[in-house]
Amino acid sequence: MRAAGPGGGFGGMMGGMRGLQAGGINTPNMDNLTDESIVGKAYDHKVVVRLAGYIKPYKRDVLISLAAVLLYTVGNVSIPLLMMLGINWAINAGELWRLHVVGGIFVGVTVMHFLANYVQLVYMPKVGQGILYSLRTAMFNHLQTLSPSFFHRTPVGRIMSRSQSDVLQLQETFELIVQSFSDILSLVGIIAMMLFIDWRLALVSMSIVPVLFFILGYWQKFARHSFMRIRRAIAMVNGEYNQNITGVRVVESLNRQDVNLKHFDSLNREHLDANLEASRFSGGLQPIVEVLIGIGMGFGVVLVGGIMAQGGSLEWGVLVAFALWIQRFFEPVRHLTMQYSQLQRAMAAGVRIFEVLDLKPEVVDAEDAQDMPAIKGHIKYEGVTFHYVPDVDVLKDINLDIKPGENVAIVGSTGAGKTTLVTLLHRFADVSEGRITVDGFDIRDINRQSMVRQMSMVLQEPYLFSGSVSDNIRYSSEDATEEEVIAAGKAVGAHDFIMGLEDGYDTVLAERGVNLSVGQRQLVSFARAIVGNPRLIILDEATANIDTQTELLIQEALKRILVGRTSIVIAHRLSTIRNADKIVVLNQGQVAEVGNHEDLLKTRGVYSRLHAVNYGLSHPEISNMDGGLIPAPASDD
Amino acid sequence: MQILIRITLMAWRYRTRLTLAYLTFLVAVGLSLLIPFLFGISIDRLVSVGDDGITGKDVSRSTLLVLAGAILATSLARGFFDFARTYTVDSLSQLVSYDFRNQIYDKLQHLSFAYHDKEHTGNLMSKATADVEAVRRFVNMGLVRSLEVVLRIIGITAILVLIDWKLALISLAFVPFLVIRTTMVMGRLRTMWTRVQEVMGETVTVLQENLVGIHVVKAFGSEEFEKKKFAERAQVLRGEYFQSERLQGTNSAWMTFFFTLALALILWIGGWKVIRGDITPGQLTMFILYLNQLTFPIRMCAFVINSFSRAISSGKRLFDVIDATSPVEEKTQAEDMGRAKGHVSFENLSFAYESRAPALKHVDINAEPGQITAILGAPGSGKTTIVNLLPRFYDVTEGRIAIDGRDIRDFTLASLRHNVGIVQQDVFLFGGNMRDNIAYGAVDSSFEDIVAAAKVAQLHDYIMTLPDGYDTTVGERGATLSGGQRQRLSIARTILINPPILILDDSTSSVDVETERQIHEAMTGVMKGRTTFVIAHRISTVRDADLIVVLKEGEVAQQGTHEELMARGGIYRDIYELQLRPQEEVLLDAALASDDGGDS
Repeated sequence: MRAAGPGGGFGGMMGGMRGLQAGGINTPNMDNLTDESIVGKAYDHKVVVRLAGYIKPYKRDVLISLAAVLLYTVGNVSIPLLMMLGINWAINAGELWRLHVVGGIFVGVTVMHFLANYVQLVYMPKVGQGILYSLRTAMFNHLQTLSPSFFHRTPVGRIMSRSQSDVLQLQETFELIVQSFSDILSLVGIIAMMLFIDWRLALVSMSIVPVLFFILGYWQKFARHSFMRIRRAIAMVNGEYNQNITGVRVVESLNRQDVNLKHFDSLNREHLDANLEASRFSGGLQPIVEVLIGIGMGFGVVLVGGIMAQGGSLEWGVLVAFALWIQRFFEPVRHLTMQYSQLQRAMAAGVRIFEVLDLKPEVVDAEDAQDMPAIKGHIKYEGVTFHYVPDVDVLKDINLDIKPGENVAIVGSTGAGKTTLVTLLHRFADVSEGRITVDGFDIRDINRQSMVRQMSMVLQEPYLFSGSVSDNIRYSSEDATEEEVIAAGKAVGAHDFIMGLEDGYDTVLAERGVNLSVGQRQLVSFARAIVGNPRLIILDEATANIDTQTELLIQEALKRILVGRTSIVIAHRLSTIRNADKIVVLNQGQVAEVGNHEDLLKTRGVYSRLHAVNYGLSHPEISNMDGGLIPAPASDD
Repeated sequence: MQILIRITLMAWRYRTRLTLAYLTFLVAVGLSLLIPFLFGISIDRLVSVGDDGITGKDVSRSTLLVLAGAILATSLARGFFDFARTYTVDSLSQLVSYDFRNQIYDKLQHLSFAYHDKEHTGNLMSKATADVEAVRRFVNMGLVRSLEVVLRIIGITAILVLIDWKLALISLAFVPFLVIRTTMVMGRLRTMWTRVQEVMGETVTVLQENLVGIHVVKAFGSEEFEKKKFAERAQVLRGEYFQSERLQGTNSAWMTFFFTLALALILWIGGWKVIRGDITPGQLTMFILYLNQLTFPIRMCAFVINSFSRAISSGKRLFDVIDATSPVEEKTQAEDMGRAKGHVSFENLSFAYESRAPALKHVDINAEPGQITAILGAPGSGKTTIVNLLPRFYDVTEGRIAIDGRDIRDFTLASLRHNVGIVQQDVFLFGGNMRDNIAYGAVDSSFEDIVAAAKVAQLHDYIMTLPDGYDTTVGERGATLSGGQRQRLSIARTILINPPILILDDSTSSVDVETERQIHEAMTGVMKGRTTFVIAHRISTVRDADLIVVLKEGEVAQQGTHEELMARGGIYRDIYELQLRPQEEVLLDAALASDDGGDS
């Protein structure tokens, strides 16, 4: 599925990653995942073995359903046999007591047949749903271990389709295999019975079967082609549909409805055509089977069987039984043909799922990782170099010493590596060279979770989850009390607007919180960042979306909150970082300058130049857009 | 029921196909009923009932040949009609789902923002996929096949009653029981499926939100919390799913049971009747084969019933979209606006989002053509609401908005929105190349115009650094644009549409100072000659404005020019002193510092 672009809907994610690959180009193959349109083999041993691992916990249930399938099939095959017995042994002889015996047995078989069928129909979905559950959660849990750069490279739509439709399809594999087992069993049973009862009549009636297999083989090829065409078409349809919903606000404001409908219609039409083509092929299969049954019944049973019966070598009960068997024979054959393509699909889905499950997380805790003790907040970058691709350094030889409680600001132009610098501390990725220590511990030596839970981060584009305002504030520390939530709301100045909402803190947010303004969402994400009383706070350009009045309130609040905590702030509004203890100026992945506001202005380096641009000042090195005039001070005072 | 009728009406558009489907299946059913009859006759030709039981009798080979030929011919004809039926029914159901898809797609892009505020993307996605599929299955299974099932059952019953009504009664006694049982199951399955769909939607939402917000998850180390959240949903889904599958399975097992039991009774009681001479062996054979033919329709019953219950729940979800009334509707006699001069007035305007406290109260703003109006205020003070009302993304609750003196509700939505351009705060990229994305709102633009717009928007230079220039793919599989670049893309889009009225949001989020300067230039370029409303955060924008409107809790607290408001004192002066002035002071500092530097 080619889902929406990185704007709007996925803004939160893309925004946060900006520094990691600023303005970069993604080539289609960067996401490490193979193409969706590949159709697999009908039986892929590796997939089946992996799947077996998920079936294991249900061993008992699987055995029960297999036993039930066996009994059910035996019942199915033996019904014509009982018919024959009744006719030949009882009715033909005119012996009533024999008829009662056969009738009694028949009813007994019926009850067994029912019980087996019931058990099979209840136990198979039970196992199936169990596998589905394990696969879903395994997939989800594995995704949680992958580093953010994976999600930057891979469209959300593709991951979604793997964890939804592919998982559903793989789950079918189990039921398909059991059903195929049952069908093959039926086929073998029926053929054996027919040969056993009368091998000559059996051969004549079944002589047509090779033709069937020939036709089926031919049909498979078309079915495969058709299926791939449908799959591609539906992916296009769903992708376009998804994109239009995600971008609906733009579509409506730019009046694109007619153009879009025309485009969608063409995709939808292709999907229709693909399906019509497929139904021409699949619709032909059933009639072929019916004609074959006709041949078997007409020429086989009636003509040849009739001639044999006349010769006295055959009783008519055999003819009835054969008629029933021939009809029962084609049912499993038809199933198997359908199951073949379903199995292909399921195996392909399996390959895709296990591909995701096999993705190695880029950041893994060391085996002997220890828990982080309470963080004091002493952070050191020692010769840190970072790159995604060797020799293309995003950060180069960074050395920083941030003392506990220090307030550090990071500035630099787009692509300077600011976001990368701070996300390395959170171990979104691991350093390529050098090391980062927190309170003297190399962060690679400690359990990531235990460290990150004591830190917090506000991303440049606020991302909220559905749920209530209070759920969102509580996100980082689920056991925060209501008082703590409200205190956090008050501390960041969000309390008043939250109380103005329909249900205050219990107000349920729409998807991604779109019923709040961006500024309000940012305030909530601020409250979320401080509720857990973290020792270390990182703000990634977090005040950009808030109007200056609110920003001022937050600045005031943060001043209080940041006391005694280490903080790192990435900000472009230089006014917001004037009070920082230390300002780090990054330039092309290297530290250009470090110092406080006054020091840096005096050095007349990069910072002073940035500063000038920010306020439209005349500066010897740049041409000024506002004509170089310092605005007149306000008329009064 | 109403829902099923509406789906049927959708299918009725293809009435030729529908009629053809019914005709072909009637013939096919008729032919298939002929085969056991012919087989029974053959048996009776082969055996005779005498005093000493049943014995074979002589029959000419030509008779056998004729009977065999008849069976074969019937099968051939039946095969042909079966194919015709399958194809017409399949294509009919595909056509209906095609129509549904188009209808839903188009409806969604016409529904107002208020609707989309409430609906989750995941939910709308599942409507387009799972629900459309359920409706398609209904057209295929429910609409046509259900009649086939009923007809087959009635046909076979009639034939059996004609042969021997007592035996027929005994062997078919289970049918009414089955009908009652399945009707009950149908009701229960319907509610179960609705529930499954709901839980499925919730699960998808958790997954999607997790993937999109993975940075937040990682930043807070909430992986375990997320796992728990997802596992809970998945567990509920598993339970609900299993419940419905078990019910379906149980029902199917009972059906097969009654069918097999009937077969046993026929052999038992029918055999007795043959021995007594009430019926011939051929008739007994017919009984057996006909009952065997019932397997298929009985099996189908489960699917058919399932397709009914799913179609009712899915159809309801689809019609909910199709029937959704947009609070923003065009008047029937709406006129084309043409190109507005650009005089915009908000007159005593009030607005409340559904069932919430009013977001705007009695707002009066008058903007002359070409005038720049800056709107200031705290978050939630109603700034965004004002600009959402102008293009009618929502409709005012009271008062009116007039363009060139006429109420905007008198015009067509398309012509209104052509006149009102918006530079979005949330910029959305569509799959496709750079050029198509710029021309998104003005598809027919020439390449020269697109380049010109990109130049004004300060985006041209960046585009030229891309590997394929304007043909570079953007979006998920292509080039990623930074926040500032996306904003400038939005500006380029707007320039291309060339609207006389413009809405801007100057929160130049997350860009560095040099980019900010480029954006400012782009904005100055686009505002030229247009009536502009700016949600202002920065001093330069405020100073450029002809009119400053300060909002507080949905009301206009103050409006006027910078000088007027400063002289008057009050909220604007407070804001200015608190936030805007510090910016200027910093500026002075910097100037001094750089002067110092220069001197030394």
